[in-house]
Amino acid sequence: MRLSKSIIALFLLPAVLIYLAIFLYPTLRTLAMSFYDIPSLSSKINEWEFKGIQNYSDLIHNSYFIESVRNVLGIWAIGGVLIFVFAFLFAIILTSDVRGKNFWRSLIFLPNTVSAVVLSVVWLQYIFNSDYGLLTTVFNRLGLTALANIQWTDNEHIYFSMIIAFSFGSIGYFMLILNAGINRIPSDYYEAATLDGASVWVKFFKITLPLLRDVFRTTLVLWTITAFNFFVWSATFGLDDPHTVTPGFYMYQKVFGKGTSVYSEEVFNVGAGASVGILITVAILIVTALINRLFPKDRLEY
Amino acid sequence: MNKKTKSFGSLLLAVMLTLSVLAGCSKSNNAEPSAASSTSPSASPSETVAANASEGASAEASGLEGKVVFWSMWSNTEPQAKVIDEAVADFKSANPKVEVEVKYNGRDINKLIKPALESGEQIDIFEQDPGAALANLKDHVLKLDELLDQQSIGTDGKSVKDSIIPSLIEWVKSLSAQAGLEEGYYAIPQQPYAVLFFYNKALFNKAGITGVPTSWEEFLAACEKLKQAGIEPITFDDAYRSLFIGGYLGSAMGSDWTDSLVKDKTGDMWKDPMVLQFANDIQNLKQKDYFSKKIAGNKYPAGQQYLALGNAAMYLNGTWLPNEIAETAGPDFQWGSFQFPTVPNGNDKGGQQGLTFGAQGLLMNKNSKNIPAAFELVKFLVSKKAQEGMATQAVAIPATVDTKWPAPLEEAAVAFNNAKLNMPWGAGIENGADFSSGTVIPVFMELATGKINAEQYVAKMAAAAKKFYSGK
Repeated sequence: MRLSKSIIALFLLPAVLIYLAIFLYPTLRTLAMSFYDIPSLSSKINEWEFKGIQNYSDLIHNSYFIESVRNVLGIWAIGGVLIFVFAFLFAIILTSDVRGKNFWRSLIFLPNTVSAVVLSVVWLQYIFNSDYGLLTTVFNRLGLTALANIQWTDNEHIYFSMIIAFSFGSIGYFMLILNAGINRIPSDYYEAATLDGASVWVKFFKITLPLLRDVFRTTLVLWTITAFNFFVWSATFGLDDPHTVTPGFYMYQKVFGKGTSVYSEEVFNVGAGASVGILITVAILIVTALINRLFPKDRLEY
Repeated sequence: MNKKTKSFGSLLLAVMLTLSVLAGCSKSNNAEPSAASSTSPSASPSETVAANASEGASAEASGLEGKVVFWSMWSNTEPQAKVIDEAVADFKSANPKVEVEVKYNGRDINKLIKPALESGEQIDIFEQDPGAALANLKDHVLKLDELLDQQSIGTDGKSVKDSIIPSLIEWVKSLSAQAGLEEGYYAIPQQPYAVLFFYNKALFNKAGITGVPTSWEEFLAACEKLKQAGIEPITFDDAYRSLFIGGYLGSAMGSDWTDSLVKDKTGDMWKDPMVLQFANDIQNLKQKDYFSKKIAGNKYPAGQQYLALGNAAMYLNGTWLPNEIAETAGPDFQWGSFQFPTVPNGNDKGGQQGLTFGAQGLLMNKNSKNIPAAFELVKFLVSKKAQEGMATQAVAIPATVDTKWPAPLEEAAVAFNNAKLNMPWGAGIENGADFSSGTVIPVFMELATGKINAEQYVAKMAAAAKKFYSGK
């Protein structure tokens, strides 16, 4: 049956309208806002003051913001390596014939079902705490006093502590996607390779990785979006500490205030927050394009 | 693979997911009633009668009717909410025709109130920090001058205005001019707070310290005695790092100086001898181990728990501290407090006359349709009975005069009496926005943990300030 173009348009209309209303309009409005100085989120448009690219040039010259960009790139790179190494490892172990794999898979995924705020409080107050935290207690038991005396949340360690805590919770999510991808690869290849005497490593590098390229690319894009919008952990771990601040949290500070000390004089500029949002969006688009360039769509995919 | 394991696995996953979903629900469930708790639980009949009798409910007030909406800054699990519920119940028994809706927003009110007022939602009374409210909401606040002359409830014929601690109500008045409003009273202060050193009296006694330190010298002597007794003298949390910097510099030079210090574009102010003196004194505290070693990694509330558990003796914080950690500290914890000690070589603009103090405020909506009934409710909220309730149940300082202060805060009265100047949070050290959070506080932590010495501190701050502001 052939549908006329107008019928197709009619069926597409609701989806397109919803898309325009809840995605495109806010994006365009944020873009517009980024060129203004706006004292509060609820300011009327006539209270906006046009600033041109002032918000952007302020950001580039702001060492605090630059630090936040450096932080987020580090999170993306270091956290990315940590997460993907473990996610791959677990995904492969779980696709082999290990006993109780559904149990393990659920267990590894479990942190994803807990609110990030709860997880970060657990890490901060029960694992990293230097009085009664898990690390301190365990190291003391083992007699490793030098390690036990490390304050995991001081200026030197907090950044890596945060990345470890965050990565711990994120592995399961990416593991699940990779796991599904590996499961879709026909087992014939592995059987043939096994008959030819290929080792586990050879099978991984010659069969699994190449055939997983598409899935890996998708997870990499997902990770980039997650990392560049890194927010909750930055807020709970460092408050506004420059060692842990990220552009996402910086944007929040500009729009909603720091909220740590209600009684201090705060300068709100929603416009500056909007320009951070635009920069994050642009950064994600660029990195995604690069990833697509590096991992072109494969002819063989499962 | 075997089917049992699989089904067990999926069952487990299902259970976990359900739990997480339920956990999510329960959170919102908790929030919902607080948002929608339209009517406060009515007091039991006997209580109502008693309240009626004791308040001597004014006959003329009972003619009020209509609906009054009150947005509170507390959440319904906090002890303050209980006191408010009781006050509302008293109000309702005196004014049965008035319908009262209390919405417990918690501190989210700071984000919700402006859009709500602007969209014309019915809010007759709301709670806010008066300084912030007058600055942000000046088109919505009602001038209360005439209403304040009405007789207050439970204070032997005093007007509402006279029933409130004078320094507080005058402070609220001084805010009106700053906000560009016609001079007058736009808020009724409640829950006054001040930033003070809180200390564990038992530990002070154990170390043989007889009086609270008022000068820096006495402060150091007290620290030494504590250290000799095997007690860590001072601790603080990451959230309150700025208070220590501001406490010292504000005590030496006053908050205007501190404010201009963090906004100085040339960086030269950081070369002031006072900054070096500050850096030397902090270095001294670090070298003599007067700071707890944990300050480097303390994540709020780890430090205040450390104080509550009796491991450290002093903690610089707001007067809300004893209430916040009451559960850990236990009922036998003996609280004491004193102002940040006076620092030598200052410019006489700081010292004990300056204090970071303030209050929450009850404000009224200019566009309220039911001002008489709303103000009557306000009177119940600041009645002597309600304020006594705040003191006993929420360990808050009562706003009314001649009301007994809660025991943990009794010594705080000294500071309130000394105070002539109101200093901003951290004596203005956080007013440098991104420069404060990105440089001032972390570099102070390097100094306080011995990563850099006093001279390096001065050089680093001067250079960093110049660099930060060069792009502006």
